[in-house]
Amino acid sequence: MTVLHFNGQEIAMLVGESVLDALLRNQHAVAFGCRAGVCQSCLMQGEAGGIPASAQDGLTAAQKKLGYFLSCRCIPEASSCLQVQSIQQQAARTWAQVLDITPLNAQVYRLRLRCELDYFPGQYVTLWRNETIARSYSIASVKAVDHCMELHIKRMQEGNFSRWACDELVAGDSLQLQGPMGKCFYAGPTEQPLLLAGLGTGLAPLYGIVRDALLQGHRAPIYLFTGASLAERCYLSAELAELARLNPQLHVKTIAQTGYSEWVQQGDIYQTLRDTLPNLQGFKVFLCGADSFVRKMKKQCFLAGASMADIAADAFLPFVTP
Amino acid sequence: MSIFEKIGGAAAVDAAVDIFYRKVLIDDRISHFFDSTDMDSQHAKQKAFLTMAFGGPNAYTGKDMRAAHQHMNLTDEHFNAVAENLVATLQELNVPEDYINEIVAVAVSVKDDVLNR
Repeated sequence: MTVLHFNGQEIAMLVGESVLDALLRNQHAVAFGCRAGVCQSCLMQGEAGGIPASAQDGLTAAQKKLGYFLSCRCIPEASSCLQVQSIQQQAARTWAQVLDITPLNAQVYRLRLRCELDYFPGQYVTLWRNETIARSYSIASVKAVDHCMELHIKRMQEGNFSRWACDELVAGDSLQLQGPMGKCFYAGPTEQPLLLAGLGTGLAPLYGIVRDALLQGHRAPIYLFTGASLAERCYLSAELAELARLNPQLHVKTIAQTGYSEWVQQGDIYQTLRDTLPNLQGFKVFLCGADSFVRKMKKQCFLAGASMADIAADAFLPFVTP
Repeated sequence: MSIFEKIGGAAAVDAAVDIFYRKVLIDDRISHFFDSTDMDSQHAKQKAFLTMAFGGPNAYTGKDMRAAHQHMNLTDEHFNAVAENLVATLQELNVPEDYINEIVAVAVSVKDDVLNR
């Protein structure tokens, strides 16, 4: 049997159970979000040696050294004894102030925040509504250009976070934020062709990455494929068309499964990509959006010649409650 | 000097793994085994396999091989498909015939473990 010592209390763990699940099963009020090792809201501290390396994926070197780990990813070895404690969560978070929140279409809202954090466009942060509700969003802004942090929030009908954020947040409100996290950002070289593809709010990180690349003087061609199920669910289409007009190396295609408009063409994003770029050898690829889209696109891009090492992907995972 | 060193060490594995994995993914005889798996972890496993076949430093054991493939109901046809893709990859990289034979011999040495015999 594996024994967990948590804040001085002893808990018998079930086989294959994560530290987070064991604590929740024993009615401990611990914060968590995605339960997939992404949002880092279930961060804890443990004794060195007992923490599996997989529970520290995505943490900084300093955090690893301090014994920080993600409790949702931490399944200790059988018959071991693990000592863990909650951390002062505030230490991992910073305050941000709402500048404004405005609809970009019927579903997606643009939240702009003032905060001191340094980040690379395309990384993500976790926002906290309160001590138990946290959600992750990708960064669409380029700090030097936008002078704020911009996030795109899809308002979900039953969204514990998104409905609150879109309906109730007003300019001047403060909220806590954690991060930045993730490796999906532009880092050159300026001569390597880029492919960026994203569906829905998968556009958010790509909007940051593409403008960051242009700002850094990217010279090789950049192809941005974005879209949604319906033409009216595509957003920032006019802005992207204007960006492409000003930067001849940038090629933008906004694709809807159903419907079209001045900036949106009707079609299948996978097929359109295949037809436009049959050979992706030498490309750096960024893929963002729902997990199913990212998986399918990753395979397609790899088979079209992109190297696995050159495919950066950020899959948006649903946040589930136990 | 091992084959691994002769053909260029870790760099040779890096060069081979994308080509090999791409061939495996489009091979109708075996591609369905890879449909639901995470591509990054699968890519890492292919890399470990190639390192082993090239005679490089690896942590592969017969027991791991057996356990990993135990419930897949693999046949000679599946094993041969992987071996053919391995040979085609090495030919594409202009690896000399003698070395290819040695590498295939290493791969064949784990056949019974893979096919759970």
